Amino acid sequence: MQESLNRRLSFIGAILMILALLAIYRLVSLQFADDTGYFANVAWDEYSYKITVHPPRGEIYDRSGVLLATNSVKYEIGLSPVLIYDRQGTAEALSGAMGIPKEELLEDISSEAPYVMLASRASASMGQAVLALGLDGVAVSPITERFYPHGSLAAHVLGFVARDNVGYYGIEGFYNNVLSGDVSVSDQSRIPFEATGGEGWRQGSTLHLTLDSEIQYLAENTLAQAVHDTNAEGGTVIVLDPKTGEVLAMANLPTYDPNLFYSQAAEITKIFDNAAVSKQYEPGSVVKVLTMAIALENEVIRPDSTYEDTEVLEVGGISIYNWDRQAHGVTSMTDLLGLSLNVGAARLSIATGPLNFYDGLDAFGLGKLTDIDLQAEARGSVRRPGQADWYEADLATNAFGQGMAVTPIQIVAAISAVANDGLIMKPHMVTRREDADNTVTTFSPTALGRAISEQTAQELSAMLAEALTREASKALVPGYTVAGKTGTAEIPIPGGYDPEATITSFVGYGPVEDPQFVVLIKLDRPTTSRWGADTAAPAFSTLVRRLVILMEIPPNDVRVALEG
Amino acid sequence: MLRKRLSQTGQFFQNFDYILFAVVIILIIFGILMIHSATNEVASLADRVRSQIRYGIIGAGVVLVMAAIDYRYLTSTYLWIYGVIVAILGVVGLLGVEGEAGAQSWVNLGVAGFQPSELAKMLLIIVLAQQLADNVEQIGKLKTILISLGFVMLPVFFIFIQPDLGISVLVMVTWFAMVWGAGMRWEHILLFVVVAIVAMPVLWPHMEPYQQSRIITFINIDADKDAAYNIEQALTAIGNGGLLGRGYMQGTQSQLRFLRVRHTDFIFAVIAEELGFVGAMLVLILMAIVVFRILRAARLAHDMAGSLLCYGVAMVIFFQTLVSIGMNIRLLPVTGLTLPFVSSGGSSLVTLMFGIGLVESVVLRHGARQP
Repeated sequence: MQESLNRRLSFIGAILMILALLAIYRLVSLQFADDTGYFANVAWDEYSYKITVHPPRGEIYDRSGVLLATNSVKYEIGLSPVLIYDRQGTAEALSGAMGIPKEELLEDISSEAPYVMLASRASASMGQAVLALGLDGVAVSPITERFYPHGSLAAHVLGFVARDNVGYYGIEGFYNNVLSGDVSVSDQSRIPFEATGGEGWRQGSTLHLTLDSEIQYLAENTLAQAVHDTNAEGGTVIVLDPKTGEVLAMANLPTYDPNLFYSQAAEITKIFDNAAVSKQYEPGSVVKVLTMAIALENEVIRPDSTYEDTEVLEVGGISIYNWDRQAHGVTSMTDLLGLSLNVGAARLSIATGPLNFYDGLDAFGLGKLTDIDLQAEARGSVRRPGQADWYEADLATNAFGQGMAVTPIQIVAAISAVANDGLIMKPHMVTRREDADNTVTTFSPTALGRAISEQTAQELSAMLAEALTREASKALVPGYTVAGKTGTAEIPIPGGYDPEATITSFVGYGPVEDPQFVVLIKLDRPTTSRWGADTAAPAFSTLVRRLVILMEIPPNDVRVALEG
Repeated sequence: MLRKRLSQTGQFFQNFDYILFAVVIILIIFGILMIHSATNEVASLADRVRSQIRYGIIGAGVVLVMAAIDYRYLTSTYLWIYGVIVAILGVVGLLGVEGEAGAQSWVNLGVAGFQPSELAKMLLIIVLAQQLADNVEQIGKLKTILISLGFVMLPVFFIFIQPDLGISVLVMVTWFAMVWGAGMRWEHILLFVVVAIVAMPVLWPHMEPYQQSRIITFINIDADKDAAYNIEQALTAIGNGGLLGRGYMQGTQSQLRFLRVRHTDFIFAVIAEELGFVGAMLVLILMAIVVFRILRAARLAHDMAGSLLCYGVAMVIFFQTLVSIGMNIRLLPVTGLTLPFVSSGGSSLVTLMFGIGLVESVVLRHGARQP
């Protein structure tokens, strides 16, 4: 019988060989036929992970080196269940360091997920405590978070950085690419001996703003006080250097703290909008300054011209009245401005003619972007003859700032032309950019264009200053000559204008002899008075009284004495 | 008789299969190196290497001791041995402690846990070898086959309910190979194949969920997330090995612990990843040498019981290797069987060395027929 067994043993030997060859064939096909690199990819996917390294975001300083935006360190803590062998020990240690119940951690560690996030924004102390534990499979990665040392100061100018490391609104939004630098995304191996480095990493650049934080603080305080005193809903203030276009201060109310941007409810995210550049409004009588400038420039009138003021002016089927519905008789150009007479302004634009008038408004930049380096600037709109929705009456109403939409920055830029001998400087926020490699880029002032001649500008300046004095404006500043104009605009609502509410404003500059600043104060829906002269003008005066001290501008008598 | 054996001691080991012994020792050492790589820097597995070394030394001693003992003492008392097997397996249910897989397959013997089913697998070969040798004249009768089947079914039942599907199947396959080797008729083989196919649906509801899932997973790899994950990791490890591998202790799947139970069930994947096709073939060739040396012993054996004994041991080693590697390369379902001599595990190693000892015992005494 053993003979039979031996025969069968040979047979079984053959079968074993066949089975072994089958296994070898399979092994070969797995180990050598992998043309597509399938298994290599599977393995790589498992032991590699994408790392996005965010370089520190560039800091933001004001013009004198005051830090406005910087970074603080937080930690992201998470774990990779497959890399954790000592589950109990890891859970216990983490529980102690993070204050998460051990059972919860054990559940996380036992999960199928490749990565479990334990804390997305852990404090520096907690992050360092976990880091010190040196646990296998527990990742502690530092993340930077934007920090604004002064809280809500200049919030609308600065904007904020959301958790996706992208800047939104203001400087953070406009200069996001410059500030954020270049992130490097690289495949990282979990194996120390295969570690690869990231490329393309570039640190964010530092920005120095034109903003002066002391003037900013003054402007914000003044605005807050004015909003409070007039019981307004909000407002905007801009302080600009007319000779350079540098924005010295810019603020809006209501405002927020960019450190806590996420605490703003979704429905009021409008609070993030920088109204100074983003919000359109009907400017009102402030535009009379421009109407006058255009009329002078086109030699329709001269500074000493007069006209016969009437109670009403019929234009294109509508009636134009003065604010007091009175006829003022023979009136000088200065009084036209001082008394803010709509009939007079309409007479000027009609006399100038539509072509010259609208070319003039265009030269002042109304309805055009100033290209200020802040995010989300609105364009505004000024309708022109030839456009379908332009009517003859618009020529008259536009003369006193009705029927058009502008932004506060447009008005400030336009008025700055009058202050700067007719030249509009481009409003801007950044003076200097310092890259990580120490390359420094300086932004020198650039002109947007000439609005009016030097002569016209100077004549108009004198008229504006005289007008304020004659009417004993609340905008006057003792010791200094300032020029300016109030504006009271009605608020367009469907089917006409809101009969109750107004937007009041005052735009002025000084000293008239050598203008150093243009200030716009705009109050939304003040309730103590509906007139700019009673609401915005006093706020202008309050601000400028302090501003001249901060800017070290000598009063008239001192200046005259110095100039000898 | 004792005097006679002692006087023969000088030439006693002249028939000892040194090649078999040496290759087995090489496999064990190779295994220890791979276990070291697989458990590197894992605190909870730190003792596995030392444990494997200890059991390797014990195993080598077991081979020498078993070689010295005449296998016929064992085969002649096969009914006693059978009684011990059934008794031990029966007691496992009462004394068993939780094993790694959660199965009650470990008996705590005070010092170290021991898997009685591992020992039973090897002792059953002795029982079957003698039982079949005794009835080899009647092997053509179905009754003989059924009696033999009855012998294995009782212990297999106990092993199956532990539950240990892998060893149950291994024992049944070994039995089948042994009755076939003893001269089972082809029509009977066909009959058993048919019965086995019919039996599957009957057994299915009685399988443990994890056993069912292993079979489902084999058919549809996505059915069981855990098992599918393990197989996918093993395939990835092997697929990344290439010709020469990623280098000892540098396999990404192994070192980064994506591969689970890599020191036992998936040790072959670790070898294939770190040492490549060359390393995997080395294991296969060494294993083939072991199997063919044992089959050689089966041919040389002095009697039918000795032949069947060796043949049974060869079958156990071969099928366990095939199933373990087959699982790693996704040819066969995940059964939890380890790679003989290489995988970490004291019970398995010592039991296999016990089997090698039996083979040496047989080969040492073949001179009785061929001086």
